[in-house]
Amino acid sequence: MSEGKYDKYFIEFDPNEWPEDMRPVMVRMDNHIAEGCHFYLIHWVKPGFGDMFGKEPLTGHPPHIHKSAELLIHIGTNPDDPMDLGAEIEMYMGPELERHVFNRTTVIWIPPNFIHSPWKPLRIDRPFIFMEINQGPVHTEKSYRQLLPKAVREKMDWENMWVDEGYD
Amino acid sequence: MPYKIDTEKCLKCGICISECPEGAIVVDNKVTESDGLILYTVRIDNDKCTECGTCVSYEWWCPAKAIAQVNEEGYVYPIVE
Repeated sequence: MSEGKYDKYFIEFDPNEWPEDMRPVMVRMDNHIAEGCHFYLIHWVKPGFGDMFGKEPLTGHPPHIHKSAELLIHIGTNPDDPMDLGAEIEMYMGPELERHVFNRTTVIWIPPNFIHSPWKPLRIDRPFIFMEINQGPVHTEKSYRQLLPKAVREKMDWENMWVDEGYD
Repeated sequence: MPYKIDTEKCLKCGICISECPEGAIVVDNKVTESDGLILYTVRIDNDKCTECGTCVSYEWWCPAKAIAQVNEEGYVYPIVE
């Protein structure tokens, strides 16, 4: 591509910044990378991704909230049936941790401060694309580990993996 | 009609403390659990509360939906749905 004054608007993210076998991240954008941009995280989810969470109920990305609303978009990659997610996802919603399981191309609407997750793939037959579209300028997160059973809570790496951000 | 915190629903997360514009949600007790989680027992200080309604201004202002108005029949839910 020739050099131009708008080159800065073409952004290629290095997927190697994230472990390749876990989730190659294709796009991560926020207000720090491009002023005025909201937070976006887009990555593949490949077979085996859910294994790191274990099989026990309520494991996975722990229950949490964000300051701004977000969309969690799951897009299947079956060209013969775009609505086939090729995976089965478990998601818990609300302070009651209401359990949902879906296997279709799906978007989940998360209002601001709404408790959601654990999120975990139960089965992945084919890679799918996951888009976290947040309506705030940067990533914020506060976990609600008090909702988890003690046995699950004690196994989580709260200091390194599930750190609160943007809530003081 | 005054606002009150339903202690059965409250998850003790404490985000209401800094978000109340009048500083009317105050800490009664603060406990640090063994894994570092800090839990707050809070109450509404009726001398400071102006009943502005911010704390019930949208459905999940309180992630536990633990703040409600109270009348003679008890908690009135939901204020916002």
